[in-house]
Amino acid sequence: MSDGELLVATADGSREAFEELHARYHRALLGLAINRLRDRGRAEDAVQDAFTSIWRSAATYRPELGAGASWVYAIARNAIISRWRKHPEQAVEPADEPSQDPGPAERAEQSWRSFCVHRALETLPDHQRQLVELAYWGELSQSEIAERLQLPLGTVKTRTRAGLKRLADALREDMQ
Amino acid sequence: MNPDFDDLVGEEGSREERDELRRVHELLIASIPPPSLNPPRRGASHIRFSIRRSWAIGGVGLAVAASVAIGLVIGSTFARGGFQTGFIRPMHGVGSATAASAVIKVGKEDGNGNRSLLMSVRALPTISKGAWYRLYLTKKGKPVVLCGSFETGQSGNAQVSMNAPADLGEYDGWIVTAVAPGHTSRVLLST
Repeated sequence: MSDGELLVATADGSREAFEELHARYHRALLGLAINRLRDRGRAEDAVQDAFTSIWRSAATYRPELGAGASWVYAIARNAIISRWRKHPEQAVEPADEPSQDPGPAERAEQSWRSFCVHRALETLPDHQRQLVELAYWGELSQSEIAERLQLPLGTVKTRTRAGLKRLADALREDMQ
Repeated sequence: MNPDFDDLVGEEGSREERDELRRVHELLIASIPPPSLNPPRRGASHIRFSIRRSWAIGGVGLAVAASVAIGLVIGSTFARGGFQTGFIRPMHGVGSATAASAVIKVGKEDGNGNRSLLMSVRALPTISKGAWYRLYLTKKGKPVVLCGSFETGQSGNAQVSMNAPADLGEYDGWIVTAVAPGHTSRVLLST
């Protein structure tokens, strides 16, 4: 089922559909929340808020207005912002040099992009996801991954490529 | 250190396929790392003593003191930085509380025979002063294990940490009841 179909089923009270949404989105939402709140405990709370809102508000989802992922993202963003407002980051002295940090627009874009990537990662089988994560965020070469996981180098390369192909399929709609 | 695209995908495939893989490669490089779902755990041994005692009494006797301790005191000291989500259960309002809802996030078994719970409730009806809400595990629809007691603000919203026995297989659901001294408890939420 697509995310949109799961949201429609959730609106009809389907516990199974809601739990499937949780399985698909939990990690992506947690990543989004940690990135914004910088605190895992508060991030967990925000994700909980988000899923509570999804359960309550699924009936407001309109498939004709967009994909399910966009709707889930908007709900989660609101939950995270609400959490953040309760304890915003402390103000700091402005720096003399222009900040190299991304501005609001870039930050929003990165946030959405990361959300989509994390969501897509959940579609990979474990043996592919692990290799992709080690390659991109583990700072390990393919040879080092092969050594660590005690797999032939050829297997690592084949699975990594297959994982990227699968990610491309999962991301195609989001990235258009 | 970003991985090298050619090292990852080799030189096979059509130009279109390689272009698509390269876009994914660039997206991955631009993305923040996904969070670990298995953070270090904290405080489990401290919790075990109190929780086991609370459900051993089956919701009677020391229930108020123990469950308040679980729901409000110990629950809050169980740092959720260590929460490992196992699954999630939605609840819907029943009877006079049809507008209410809740979501219970059920933690993984902690090795001490417990599971932590993180429950969010919304729009629970107001109850009288001195009354409280309770979350129970049920068997054939009847409450058999008290997981904790809690209160809400004026809005009827709350987020509370509680605990449950690890083996949930012998139970068939959850309910939230409102309990007021001198009154029969009534069910407000059910799975």
